[in-house]
Amino acid sequence: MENLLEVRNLKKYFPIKKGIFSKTVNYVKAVDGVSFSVKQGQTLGLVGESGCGKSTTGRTILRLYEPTSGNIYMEGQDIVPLGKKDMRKKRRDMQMIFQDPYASLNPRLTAGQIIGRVIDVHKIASGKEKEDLIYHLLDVVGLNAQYYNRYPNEFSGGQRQRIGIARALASNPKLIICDEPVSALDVSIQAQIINLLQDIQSKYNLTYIFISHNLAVEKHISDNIAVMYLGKIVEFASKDDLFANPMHPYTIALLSAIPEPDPKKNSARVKLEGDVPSPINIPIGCRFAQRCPQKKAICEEKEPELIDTGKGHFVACHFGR
Amino acid sequence: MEEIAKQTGLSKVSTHKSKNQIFELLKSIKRNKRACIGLVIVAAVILIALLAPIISPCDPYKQDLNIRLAEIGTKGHILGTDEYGRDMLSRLIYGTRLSLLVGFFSVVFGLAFGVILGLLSGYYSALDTLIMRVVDVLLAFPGVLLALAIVSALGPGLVNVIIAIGIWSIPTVARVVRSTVLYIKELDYVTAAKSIGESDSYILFKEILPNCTSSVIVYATMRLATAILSASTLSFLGLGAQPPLSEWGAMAATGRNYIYQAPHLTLLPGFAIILVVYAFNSLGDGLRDALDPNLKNAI
Repeated sequence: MENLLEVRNLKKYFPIKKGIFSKTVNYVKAVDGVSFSVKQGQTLGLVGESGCGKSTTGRTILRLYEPTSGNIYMEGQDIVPLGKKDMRKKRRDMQMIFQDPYASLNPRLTAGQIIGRVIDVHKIASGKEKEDLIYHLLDVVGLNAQYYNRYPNEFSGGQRQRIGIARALASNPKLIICDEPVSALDVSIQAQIINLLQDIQSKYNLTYIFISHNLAVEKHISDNIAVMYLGKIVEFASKDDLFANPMHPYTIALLSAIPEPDPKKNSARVKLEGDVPSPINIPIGCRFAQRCPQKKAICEEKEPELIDTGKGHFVACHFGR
Repeated sequence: MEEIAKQTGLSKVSTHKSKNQIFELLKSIKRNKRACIGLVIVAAVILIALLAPIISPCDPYKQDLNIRLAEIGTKGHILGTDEYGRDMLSRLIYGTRLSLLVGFFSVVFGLAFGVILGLLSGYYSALDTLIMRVVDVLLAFPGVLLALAIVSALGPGLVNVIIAIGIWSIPTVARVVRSTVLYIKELDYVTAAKSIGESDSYILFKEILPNCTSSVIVYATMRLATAILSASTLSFLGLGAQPPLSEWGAMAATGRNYIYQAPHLTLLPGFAIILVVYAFNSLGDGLRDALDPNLKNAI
């Protein structure tokens, strides 16, 4: 299988400006050198706690934020140097599903208009054909045809998210970046939306980047999982490998925090001390060193690289097995 | 064919929507007593202005020197006459037209430029500093003084008053719109529009602008009151409507010479101004409460 998307050393720094002349005094290093690849038809899970840069990574891949440096290869073509016009054409292949279904739909447009805009922008169809396509998309995401002329405020959260999915599907994309698409929904609806996402993935051979902080959801939907910490990937492995054999101390701590349905089962909980360091002043050495239970002298001096330990299990730790 | 289908489709939808919206709006205005009174007075004033030739008892410009300065309650002239024997009631009724016209056009003028400047400065951070500094300069002038300066430069006359008050409205409109744009442009539906490849102009005018309208409408209604008041002020100072036009401010100004013999010449136009300004202000307040989704749920 071929790599649909390959991200190489992607960085996104947000400048902090101060003073009357807006001098840049520092940077928030939201994404600080991220590399990974996703194969056609697969799902890459991006996990990590709030503020670790997973959403920024997703949005930078779509160039909703201009990358500070790095390359993004979509089907072998680097999209970073693309001009506005070419990028607009390329957007047809890359769509996004948003976290908050209440903020992601323009309250002044009907469901049909919201989906129809994608079709208009990319000149996919017009007139009757366009209308039929919109009805078809509504049907695919499990919405009644009568919702065509309804406004977002008439829908529930789950229905709104379905409209968001229909919008992302409208241009028949190859890659969809799902930015925590279920974390704003309640649990029963989460399951429906995830099943819908899996259905359409197999139906249209879609590739997902699935951003979430919920490991249980990732375990269900992802093929590979990348664990992010403070703007970097600390561990990258296939789902089974990661859950069976986590190597990075941060991943181990994360996995031990998944709630256990059986209260009698006594699993060892790794508790982390302290907070995530500020992405403005990133510590020298390993980013995780301050909170790491296995810290050694080298950790505060040298930053570990993401190294393949075999079978495509990458880990960025001096003591990763 | 496609265009027609699109247009009819859109218009069908929008009428359905606007009907619904207006109904909702009226319902929430009904709950607010002050806004209700404001709405009734505003509606009455607009009606009076439209029907001025029909409802006014006399020609507002017809002089009758035999009945100069007639008191309120004089037969045939319910509100008396002015220093040239012109019917006060008719002059007040015709004054409604001028006041509304000046108020309306100056606000439209201010909105047209203010909204565009606000949109640009809110959306393009590169233009923000430039536009906002110019706006700051305009804001630094005390309001009427700025209008006064502009009219003095352009020369007296109603059209120039409209322009002056319009220019005076630009900076505040720009500020109001800018702050709304700054909020909206960070919302996910704008990001979504970018991610599907919409152009900047579409995002500005179709995604952001329609969602600014409620704050703009509220501001415009309140601004109308200020505009009418300022236009009257300028006319009172002799810079606005020129005689014999029956403008309230100008009427109050000429009436001032007879304030001891016939106080109604000054007081009546004054009351008219107060009433209209109060009505627009109350309506603006009511609209703000009705259109603000946060307050709506709180009640």
